Amino acid sequence: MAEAENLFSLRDVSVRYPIRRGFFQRVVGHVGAVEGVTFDLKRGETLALVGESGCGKSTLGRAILRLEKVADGTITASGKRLAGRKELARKAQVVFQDPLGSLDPRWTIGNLIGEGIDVHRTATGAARDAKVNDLLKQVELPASAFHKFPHQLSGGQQQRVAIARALAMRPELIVLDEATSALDVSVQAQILNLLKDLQVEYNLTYLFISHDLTVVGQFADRVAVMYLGRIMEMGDAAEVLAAPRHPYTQALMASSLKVDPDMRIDRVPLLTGDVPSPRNPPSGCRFRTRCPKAQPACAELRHRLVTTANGRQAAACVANGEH
Amino acid sequence: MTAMAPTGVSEATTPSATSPVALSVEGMAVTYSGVLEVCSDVSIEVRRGEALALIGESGSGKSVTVLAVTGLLGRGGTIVRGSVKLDGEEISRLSERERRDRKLLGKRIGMIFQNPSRALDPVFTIGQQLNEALRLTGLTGKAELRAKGAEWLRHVGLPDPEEALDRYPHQLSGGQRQRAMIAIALASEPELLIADEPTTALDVTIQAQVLNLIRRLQRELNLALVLVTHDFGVVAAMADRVAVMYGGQVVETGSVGEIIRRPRHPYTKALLASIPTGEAGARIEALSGSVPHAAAMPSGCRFHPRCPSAMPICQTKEPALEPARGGRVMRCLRADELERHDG
Repeated sequence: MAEAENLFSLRDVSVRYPIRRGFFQRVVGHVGAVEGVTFDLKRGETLALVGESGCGKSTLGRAILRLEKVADGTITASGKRLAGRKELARKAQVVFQDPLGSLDPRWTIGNLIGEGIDVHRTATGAARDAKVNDLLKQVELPASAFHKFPHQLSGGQQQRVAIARALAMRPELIVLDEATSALDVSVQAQILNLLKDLQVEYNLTYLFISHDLTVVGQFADRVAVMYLGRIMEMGDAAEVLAAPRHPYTQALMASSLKVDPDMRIDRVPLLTGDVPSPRNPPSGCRFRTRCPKAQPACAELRHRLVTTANGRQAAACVANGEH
Repeated sequence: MTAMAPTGVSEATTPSATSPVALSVEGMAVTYSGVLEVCSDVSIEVRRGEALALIGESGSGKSVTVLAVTGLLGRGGTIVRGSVKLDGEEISRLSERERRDRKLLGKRIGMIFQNPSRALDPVFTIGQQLNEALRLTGLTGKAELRAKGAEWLRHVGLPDPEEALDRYPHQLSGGQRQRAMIAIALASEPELLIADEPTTALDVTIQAQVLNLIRRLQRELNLALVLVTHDFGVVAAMADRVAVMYGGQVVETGSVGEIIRRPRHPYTKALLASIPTGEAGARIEALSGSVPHAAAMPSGCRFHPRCPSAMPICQTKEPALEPARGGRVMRCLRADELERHDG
């Protein structure tokens, strides 16, 4: 894993959404959804992006898939900038949270899985159907699913179809955007195990976008914690979750409930307030408005990542003695 | 639930073990259009000041159970067997009109939903919706309503409560909307609060805030709380007692410590085992298959097709919810045998 090649490289990537106002929908400003993100995705690894809603984790995933325009910075695939969406589709695919929302209800499962093969003409006729049947087998669906419609399948089976659809293009990267969040725990366990098996078999790289830190700890190799568009901490998943360095990661860990009857809710430390609006983020450290360790100097702090042992990075923090 | 195991429930010494029973459901069955039986045998009991968690996968009948209690089953849904008692009074056979006359929902039973944007009316301000609940307590007069409304919003921790009264739901954030809904549900001073997946849509930091708030208010107001969830983390943090549901039936009940530390029913065990532990790289023990559909319930024990401990008899004989050894109440033909294996 240490010497694996970089599949995707992000350098100072920012994504901004325009704010439109008035009758003519004039652009009056921009919301920074992702700001100055730099990391490498290594072949065969699972990198988790975690954070609360609005932190930019999904936007970043969409930017890698070229579903969002990158305002600043570069995203390269194996050192090259990719020309278009279609070229990228062979390299990177996505599985979303809501399988029913991403599967056309009027299409049969066979056609849904075969769509990519048809569009890219990688196989036709009987060879195409054989490929689809093969994919059904890989995601452990019965061959009888071929002629069924999405509503005839359970939620877990629908998610398997979405995974088969992504696999059809033999991609190198699959972005899993909260892909197991809507599933029951027993089904989530089945899907996570399936994804692990597929990863080993095809040397797949996963960008695992999630808000569930326990799942991340078990499933991911590395983790990047985001808050209001910025990476606050990044490194080996087990290390970061066992000993979070940045106060935000610490707060996130402390707020997640454990399956332990001794951890009653009155013992869970609480953060105050809501996530600030990304339209009007706080100056300095973005977490300072909710941070239990905030000091006046935090308002002047310039965001930068401080690297420590084992390539672990954490945003500079006044409470950690960094100015 | 405690009524069925009157002796030997060792760990059930919650502070409320002796307080009066607020809600008691016994052997309740619910059908839609007379054919689809979505709940077959639900028995639960909650005392004042106690928090009961109803846990199960989707399709287990946990949401239908609370909808039946609140009378919100909707078109075609009826309670066909069993009883539902609120403070000892039978309410399962009441018509919608009788329910309204007795001010069951809103006044005596408060309800919090998963999605506050659907439970709040977008065309009325938070203050107007609060007033509706406050009037049920007999409060009148504009100034008094406003003062009490602001007090409630302060109680649930909304910043600028005075200002929030005049806000419409869309002007609040998700967590704030959830707080406003809790304020509205509690403003009528109910005896029973039902929370159906109250924090599932929220971020972890906001979830902790909202659950903490519900627990604090439940203690202060000595409410009976029924918490519907699929998340064992929420159960561990909130519940005094737990009822595990599968295929429209309660399959095991016990105190939160018993259920999480020493699950006995094979389904409870499998459900707990399928939760990720967070241990890096470890494989999860996935429970295969999925919850059966109400139209195609397996014969015998409803869990037998997925059960690792199933025996041939489980295919034909229906287990009943009975007190097992060690003060357990569970629905399993092999209850005593499995308990012995656990030592």
